[in-house]
Amino acid sequence: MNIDIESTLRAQRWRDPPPEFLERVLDRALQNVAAPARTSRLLALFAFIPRPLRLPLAACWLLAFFFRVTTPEAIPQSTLESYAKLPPMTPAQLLANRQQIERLADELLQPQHHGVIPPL
Amino acid sequence: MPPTEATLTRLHAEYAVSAYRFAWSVTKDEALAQEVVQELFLKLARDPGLITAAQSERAVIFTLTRNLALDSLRRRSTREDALERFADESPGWFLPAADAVAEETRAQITTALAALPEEQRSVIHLHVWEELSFREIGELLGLPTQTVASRYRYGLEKLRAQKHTLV
Repeated sequence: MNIDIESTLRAQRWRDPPPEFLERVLDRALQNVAAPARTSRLLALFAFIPRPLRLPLAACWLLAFFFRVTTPEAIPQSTLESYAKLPPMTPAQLLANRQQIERLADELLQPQHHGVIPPL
Repeated sequence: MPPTEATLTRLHAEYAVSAYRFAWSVTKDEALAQEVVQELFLKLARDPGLITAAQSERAVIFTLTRNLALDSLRRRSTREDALERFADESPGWFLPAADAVAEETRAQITTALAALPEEQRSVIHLHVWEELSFREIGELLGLPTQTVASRYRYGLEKLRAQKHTLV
């Protein structure tokens, strides 16, 4: 009995999967593709930077950010001008000057605060 | 619709049914085949590079399907145990035939096909129902074309012998 087994096989018709199963497969797959797609859109902004440069650039940016945060505010120009008008003095001279001013102020104010109240 | 979703929808429309049949053929278990197909499309969704980097979409789909099917068999138990367990079962792969003679042939073919080793059944499935050439099957299974042709020939001989026995 010469059976053409190949044509017999080809004549068999496969059962189709249930349509609801196929829908479920696609739905789940699409749910899993949604989140990475949003992320990749954000990452696409950096796509123009060549890959080997991304890490060094990120390190530079972090360093710049660190210095930006830790560096104190610049002294305003008007303050710098006021300082420029002062005579050149050492810190020791400044302190001595300040102590002298305070002593003189005490001497001047002492009679007003602690002296006899003048008659009206 | 982002390109990945459009690609995935197209792949689903073109290959979901074929992948399902092939997974069913490999595993001989419909429920397992459904898990495999679900896993296949989740994999494609998470890693679209699998398809974009490939030369042949069809080859990637069938390779992934086979690997996932074999993995699922291994997970269930060892592969040999699972194949042995399902060897006696007659999977409902094919639609019932119109007449009694054809129906008998269908039952015999199903039983004989289910009794084949997975390697031969996969080659027969891909060549007969997916119409892949031996060269294409060899590429996706990582085998020389001659080996694929031999497996096909041996598979058909076994089917023929089995059918004679059953008749």
